[in-house]
Amino acid sequence: MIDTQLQYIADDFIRSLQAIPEVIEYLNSLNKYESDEEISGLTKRYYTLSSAFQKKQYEGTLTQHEITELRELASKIQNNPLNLNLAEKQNAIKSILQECNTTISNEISMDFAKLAAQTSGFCN
Amino acid sequence: MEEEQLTVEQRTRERLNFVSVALGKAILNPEPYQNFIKARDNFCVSDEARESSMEYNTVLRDYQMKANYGGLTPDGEVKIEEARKKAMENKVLNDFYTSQEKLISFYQELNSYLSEKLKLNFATLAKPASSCCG
Repeated sequence: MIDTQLQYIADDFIRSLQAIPEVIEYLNSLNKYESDEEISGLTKRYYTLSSAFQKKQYEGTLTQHEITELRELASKIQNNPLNLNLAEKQNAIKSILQECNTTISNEISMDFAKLAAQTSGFCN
Repeated sequence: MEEEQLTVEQRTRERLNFVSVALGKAILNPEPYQNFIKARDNFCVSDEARESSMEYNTVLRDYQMKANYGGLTPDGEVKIEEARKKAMENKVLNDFYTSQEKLISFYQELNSYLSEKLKLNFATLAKPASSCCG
């Protein structure tokens, strides 16, 4: 559905955003986060346990110890400096992205991001 | 040096603003946007379509109220489906709803394209802080 002309302009938009210092910092931070072995191991373990515990919860055999283990693991991931840094950088680019969205939305007379992010239809 | 740096940053920001305008303008041309505008205009001038929409929305609101505050009956969803079918018999309203869905799919597709390349979900981060209907 996205034609060549729109794709060309979208690519230009992407390149312009990628030239913004705050976006560069975010991408660097994301790169560090994604390539960190500790974070990757913790996240993998979290999802494995989470999936196993969901089954146990359904069967009624989930113990308090297991719940605590999962919570501690989540807290470890959340408080990891790379994760905190990534959240900070993401927060820093929010206002830039919101500004872009306001400009796009003014042109189309409706809120692009609000509509693109929702899972159901318009609010009638 | 600092002044020079500032100018580079200003130019980068100006460029971003320029391409944001261009992206907005480029959304106006594709079929889903054009079809939606036509369908919305037709809906706005059709008393019958607006009446059908109001009837359907009343059934939806009633169901939502009961779901939130109690009183849901087993035939609740059947009533909604019947109301939806009745509303969709109105061609103008049907076109309006269909074009809305297609426009949202188009926006979602464009957002996926942007987000994949930017390595972030553009719409989720750029949408206003309030909830859907806020």
